[in-house]
Amino acid sequence: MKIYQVDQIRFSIKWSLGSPYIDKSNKYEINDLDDVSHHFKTHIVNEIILPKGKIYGSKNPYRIKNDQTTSIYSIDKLNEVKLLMSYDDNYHHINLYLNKQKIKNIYETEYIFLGIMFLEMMMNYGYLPLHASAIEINNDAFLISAPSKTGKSTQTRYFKEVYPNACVINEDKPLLKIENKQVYVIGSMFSGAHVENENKKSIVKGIYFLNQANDNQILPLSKEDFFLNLMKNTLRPKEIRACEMFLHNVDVISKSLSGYRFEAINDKIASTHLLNHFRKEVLHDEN
Amino acid sequence: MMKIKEGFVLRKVDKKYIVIPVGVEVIEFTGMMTLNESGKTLFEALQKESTAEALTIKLVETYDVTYDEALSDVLDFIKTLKQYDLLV
Repeated sequence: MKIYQVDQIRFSIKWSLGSPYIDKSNKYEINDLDDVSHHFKTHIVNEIILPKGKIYGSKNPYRIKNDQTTSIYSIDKLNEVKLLMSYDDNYHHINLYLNKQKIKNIYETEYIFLGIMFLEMMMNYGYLPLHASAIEINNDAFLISAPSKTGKSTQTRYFKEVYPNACVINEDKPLLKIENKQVYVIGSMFSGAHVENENKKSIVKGIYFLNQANDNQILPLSKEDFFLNLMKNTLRPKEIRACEMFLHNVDVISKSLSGYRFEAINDKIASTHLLNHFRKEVLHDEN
Repeated sequence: MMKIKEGFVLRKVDKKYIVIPVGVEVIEFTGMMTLNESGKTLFEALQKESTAEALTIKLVETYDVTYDEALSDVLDFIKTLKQYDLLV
C-alpha cells in the first residue's frame, strides 16, 4: 500500500501488483500515515458478484445504490461483469474490482478507473477537475482546455518542443482550487494517457479553450461564454452538496480569470502565438 | 400530465439559470441546460404535475405574451425536455 498527498488531501492506494503506475506516482508519495482517511484498493478477481441494491441505468455503466455503498459496474456482451467500483458516501473506502478474465489491460484500466474515483473524491473537497492541459512557464500558469480528441495533447507537445523550460503540471485533468481569491492549479498522478504531471501548485492566470482551425487566432470570451465553456469541460459531482460548491466555484473562476477561444492550426507556430498572447494580454508583459 | 424527473436541480448562477443532474438516479443525462426567465418559470412549474395548457396559462399570467406565443414556447420546451428524457 502506498500513501500519497495531493495538495492537502492524503490517501492510500493499494495498486495491483506490478503496476507501472506505482513508479509513475512516486512524486506524490509520503511516509506519514496521519490524516489518511481515503483508501483506494484494487482487487483482481476471476468473477465479480454484484452487491445487493437498486440498479439504475439502461446501459453501461450501471449503478447500484444501497444503504452502505454506491457501486458502478460495467458488463460485457455475455452480461458478465467486467469491472465494479464501490464507494461509501464520503469516499473513505473505494474498492475497484477488475475481472481478469474480461479485461485485457488490467494496469491501464486500473489507472483510468482509480483516476475517476480520485477526481470524484477531490470534488467533495471543492476541487474542480477541468479537462485541460495545465502549463507553467516562468512561474505563470495557463490552461489549454478542450474535450478529448481536440488536439490538446498535440498542442501541449508542440509547446514543450518550442519552450523546453515549460512545465506540464497535468496534461489531462488538472485540479483547480480557489484559495484566498486566487485560482490555483494542482497536479496529480492521474493525468491521461501520457501520464505527464508534476507535483506542483501554481496560480492560474488564464484559460484557453482550444478549437482546431486553419488560422491561429485568440479571441476573448464573454463572461457568460467563459462560464459555459468551463461547465462543458469540467467533471461534475454527483452529490448535491458538492454540486452547490461546484457551481459556486465555476462562477467565481469565470469572474476572476480571463477566458479565451484559442483557434489553432496543427503546427508548432500555434505555441508561439499562444505564448505571445499570454505574455501580452494576460500578463501584460510588453518585453 | 407530466413533471420533471427526480434528480435534476435548477440553480441561479449570476444571471443564468442552470439545470444539472445530481444523484445516482440520473445517469443517462450528463449534460446541462441553460434556461432563460420563462424556461425557469416552466421548469419550476413542472416540479409538480402539470399540462401544456396549465403551463401556457402560467406564462401568459407571468409575462407579456399572447396565448399562442406562450403555447408555442411551452411546446418547444416540452419537446426539449422529452428529447433529454427529463419528463415523467
